[in-house]
Amino acid sequence: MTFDGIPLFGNGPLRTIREPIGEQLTPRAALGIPGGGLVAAGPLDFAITFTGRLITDTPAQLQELIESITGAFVSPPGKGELVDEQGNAWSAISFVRFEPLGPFERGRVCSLAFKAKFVNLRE
Amino acid sequence: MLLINPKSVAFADRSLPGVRSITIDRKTDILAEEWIDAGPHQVFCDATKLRTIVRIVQQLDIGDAASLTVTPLPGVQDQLTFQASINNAPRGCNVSMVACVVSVTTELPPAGLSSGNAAPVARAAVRTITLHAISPTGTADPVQTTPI
Repeated sequence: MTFDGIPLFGNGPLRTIREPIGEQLTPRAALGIPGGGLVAAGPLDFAITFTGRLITDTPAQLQELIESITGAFVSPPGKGELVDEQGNAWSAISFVRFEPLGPFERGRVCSLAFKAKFVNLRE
Repeated sequence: MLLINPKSVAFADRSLPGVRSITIDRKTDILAEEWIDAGPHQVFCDATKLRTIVRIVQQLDIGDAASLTVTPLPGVQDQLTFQASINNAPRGCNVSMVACVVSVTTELPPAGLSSGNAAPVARAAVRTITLHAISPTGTADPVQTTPI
């Protein structure tokens, strides 16, 4: 998987999850409209989540990899081309979240399970 | 690892008499595992939470009140030491570790039948002390062996 040509998460295993497709539903009450029910507020943003594991030989290398991922964030988010492990490509995607799913695991190697989200934000 | 008839077995500075065997098993309950989108087969596995489980099998001497009544309690953590024959040390090894008692069980095997009309043969009670070996650093093997 690459983002703007950079393999952000090293060579660790990844799974690709397409986020829900459809309408953003908002409670009427949240918009100040009297009565119950929901309002269709428009199509959901196209989003992809990766789950996987960063794998390195040492804790220091794992920390370096996390710092390089942190360096890929800009605010407001920039846009780039995302290419998954199967070669599927999406353009104008923003990297918006990296979430560790637990502590550093230390066995034969050092590893960290994670979740990362990319969204096609509207202008 | 199975160690038969280890010598000088002691836990918390108390001698444990009649030890017939000690086993040291390595086990992991939770694995770090991963799969990828390309196929159904596992692509990553690592044992990141290891337990070293030690079982001391002790034959109790009915004539020795101390061996019957003095037992370590679960939760007690202290030094376990013994001498045992290990393949790569022809004169044996001193084995030591810090370990925490997790269970103590005692069984009285049924009396065996002797031949003829003789009375059944009594068998000694057997106590099994199970401990988890504790690493001082998390990275070091909790079981230390030193050739004699």
